[in-house]
Amino acid sequence: MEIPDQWVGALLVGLVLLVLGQFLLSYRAFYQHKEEVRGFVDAKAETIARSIDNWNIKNENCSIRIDTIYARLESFESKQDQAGKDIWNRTDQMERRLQDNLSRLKKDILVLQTTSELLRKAGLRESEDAYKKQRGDE
Amino acid sequence: MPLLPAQLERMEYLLGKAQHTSLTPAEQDELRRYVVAEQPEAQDVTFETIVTLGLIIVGAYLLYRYLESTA
Repeated sequence: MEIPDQWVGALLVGLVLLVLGQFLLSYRAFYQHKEEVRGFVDAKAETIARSIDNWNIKNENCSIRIDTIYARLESFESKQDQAGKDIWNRTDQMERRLQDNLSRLKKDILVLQTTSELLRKAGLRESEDAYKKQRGDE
Repeated sequence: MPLLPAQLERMEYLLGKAQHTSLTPAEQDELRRYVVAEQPEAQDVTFETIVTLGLIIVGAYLLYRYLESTA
């Protein structure tokens, strides 16, 4: 049996059309997939950019807080230095006052010791005289 | 002075006696009473301190008598 030339021609044409159709479908699918990937990448890039912005804001806040802490620390150190100076000044004043009081106290004690010693000696002599006199009278 | 002259003279005698012999407990109590009458804070001190305070009181009494006689 012999195949007619028209059938062969029609078959070839059909095959070519089929291949072309398949090629068109593949190209369309590829293009759609490419658009989807691009959209996904853009969304991801936008998310990353937003995260970086947030991170930058947080970083800036941290820097501000660190600056504030440094300022407070410097203020505290300054106050501490001043308080230390005040305490030492007061300590020096108290020490001077105590030394003055101590020297006055020593002087008073010396006066009292001398006075009491003199009075004691006078009392001793008088009491011995009184005892001897009374014993003689007896 | 809260002590009478007679009490001071008695105290002089007791103090003089304490320098030569020991006092009886009654005499020690009497001397302590005289000293405490002059100085109430001496209530619980030792007898040795009582003697020292008594001698000072007698000395002060002598000075007082001398100043009174010269005035």
